[in-house]
Amino acid sequence: MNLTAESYSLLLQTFSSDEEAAAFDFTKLRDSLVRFFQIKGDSAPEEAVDETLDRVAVKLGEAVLIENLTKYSFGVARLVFLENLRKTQKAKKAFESYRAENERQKAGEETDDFSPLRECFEILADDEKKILRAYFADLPHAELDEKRRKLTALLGVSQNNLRLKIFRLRRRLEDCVREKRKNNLH
Amino acid sequence: MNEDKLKHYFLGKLSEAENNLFEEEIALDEKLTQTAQIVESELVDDYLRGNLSASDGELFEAIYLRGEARREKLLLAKSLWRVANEQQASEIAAAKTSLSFWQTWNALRVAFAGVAAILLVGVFLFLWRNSHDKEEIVQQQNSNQPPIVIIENRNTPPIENVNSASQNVNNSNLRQNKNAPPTPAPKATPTPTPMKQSAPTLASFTLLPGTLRDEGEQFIKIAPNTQKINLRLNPPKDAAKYQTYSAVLKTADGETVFTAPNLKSLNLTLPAKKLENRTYIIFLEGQKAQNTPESVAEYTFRVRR
Repeated sequence: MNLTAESYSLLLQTFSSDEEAAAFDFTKLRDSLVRFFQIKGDSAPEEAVDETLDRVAVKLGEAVLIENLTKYSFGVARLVFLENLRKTQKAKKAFESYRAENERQKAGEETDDFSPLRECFEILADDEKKILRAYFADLPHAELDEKRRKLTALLGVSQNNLRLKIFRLRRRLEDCVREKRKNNLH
Repeated sequence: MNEDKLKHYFLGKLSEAENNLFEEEIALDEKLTQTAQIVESELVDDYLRGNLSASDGELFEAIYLRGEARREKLLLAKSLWRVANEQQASEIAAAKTSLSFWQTWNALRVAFAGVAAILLVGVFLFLWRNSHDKEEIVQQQNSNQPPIVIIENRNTPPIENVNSASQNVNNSNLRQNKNAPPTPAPKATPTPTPMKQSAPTLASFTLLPGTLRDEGEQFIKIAPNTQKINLRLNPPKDAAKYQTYSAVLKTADGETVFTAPNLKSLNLTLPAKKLENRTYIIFLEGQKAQNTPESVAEYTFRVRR
């Protein structure tokens, strides 16, 4: 079930009679739902949001009284997430697979799963690579803390800014790896 | 924002009602979502690095890792730690091989001065050797014995030593050996001969692969004034087929203490202060040409100070 033009129109009317204001509120809700599914760890947040909004629109079409549309949408989103989780049923298998991979690596049969990340790492700018190398240096806990502290001083940023910077770099790497894997599949 | 609460959320420590309210609050606020994602990625790092408590580790596996996307996050984080450190190692190696002309010239000058100094010291020691017959201490390992030992042995060559002062002592000992009467075969003992206070600052030990629990635990005894430790890894079968090696020294709890990438020989030197009174494991990997590194052996030993 995908979000159709009809259901979209119905949703918009619920938000506001003013088209522009309705579109703004709709986008706001949609973005919040995407973040909701991301935080929950859904594999395909965008699709899950479409599914959620479509169900909400169907309920509106059935003249169900919805007092708080945002709250109601989150409730539906929670159900969609659980259904997706049940559908794939990879919860336990996922970790077992991770463990199995660890075992393979210990046995020296490592499959080179790191190559997409290696390639994506190379695409980064030199100073970005340096930051990541320093931040993820394989050092004992205390030494790593000290190294990160020095890194903030060197970059002239606060610890929180550094964390944010690292998070954004991670995001770029993750997106790049996903893209590479998708291309390899096709 | 209380980051502890976010950690509790990801580990499923909140009540259902609290959990539902909190995740809506996070999703509605873009900034809060970002903070949550930062805390999430740091939680994953903590899990990978073994920084979570046992109970949190269990919750992480049972609750957090429920979805495929999160599992993917975990694998990506693992890759990132690995690749960032590989890159670091390769950059150091590249830096070493890309010396500028002037750096090379300066290095040659220093090397020349060093050779001249060694020659002078050699002449001095030759004269000294003919006029003295002193007892010497040679650190030596006996590969037939499981424990790491420091034994007196005049029939075997001295260990490699990076410290120039101790190198001179050892060289003089070697020369003395030519004239010295044969000594009884060395006897390995788990208790090393105590080193003199003026002993070299570098101590060398040979480690055998495995845990050797059946034959008694391997241990190394580090004298208080030792500054550097040289560990020679006794090669297991088929170890010669690799072109380069990398060694990772970890505590028995899995905390990485020292890494030595791109080793050309099974020999690594590290600061003595890195080793405490505890058990360590060296994970040795070998690499053939462009192939993926393969696990070669593990060396378990205990440090005694």
